[in-house]
Amino acid sequence: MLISEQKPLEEILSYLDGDKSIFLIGCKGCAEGWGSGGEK
Amino acid sequence: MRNTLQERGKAVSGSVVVDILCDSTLTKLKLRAYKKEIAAADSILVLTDGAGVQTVAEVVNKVVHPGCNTLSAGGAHAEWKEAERCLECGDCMLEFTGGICPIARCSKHLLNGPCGGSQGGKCEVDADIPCVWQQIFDRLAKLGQLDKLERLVTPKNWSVSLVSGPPVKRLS
Repeated sequence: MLISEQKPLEEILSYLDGDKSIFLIGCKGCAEGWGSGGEK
Repeated sequence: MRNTLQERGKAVSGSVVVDILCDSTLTKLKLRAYKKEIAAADSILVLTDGAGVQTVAEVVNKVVHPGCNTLSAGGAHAEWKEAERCLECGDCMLEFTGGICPIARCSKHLLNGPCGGSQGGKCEVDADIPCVWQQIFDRLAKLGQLDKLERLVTPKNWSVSLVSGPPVKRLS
């Protein structure tokens, strides 16, 4: 299982600077297991 | 994350959680149902490990942002059988390389490329290996983001990875 953690929010927001609309994609596999990107 | 983004003034055109995001066939099929929502978005934020981010970048012609850092493969491999796509560096730089990892896919792990050994889109190490920096250039050109290559990437802090450098225990 790949271990990941969410990047700091400010870093993520800096990536999205200038973007008005975002589509979100998560994974039910490793990311959900580690709480970094599943259903929650 | 949806609420957080909306609180910060971002619209969320849609969201989906894919069973195994690093499986490109599965991801491609799953995202077909969200064609309209993806088209309406300026970009895609992917909340998973580096292999999953690269899968999305490969199957969708859209700017893809990594929302996570991958710390370790935990003794496993992503569902990308033909090659390793994420070396769990702990500080994902896919934001600046069009969703293609040069650490995992460049023979020299270069953070700034290509090197002088890139010839005709191939790597000097083996003519069968594509130059990943050429692929990064082509991808960023397609997305109109060549300016991202103007940023000089400074040496990484490898200690944030659980598998690189000295052992660092960051997980409780």
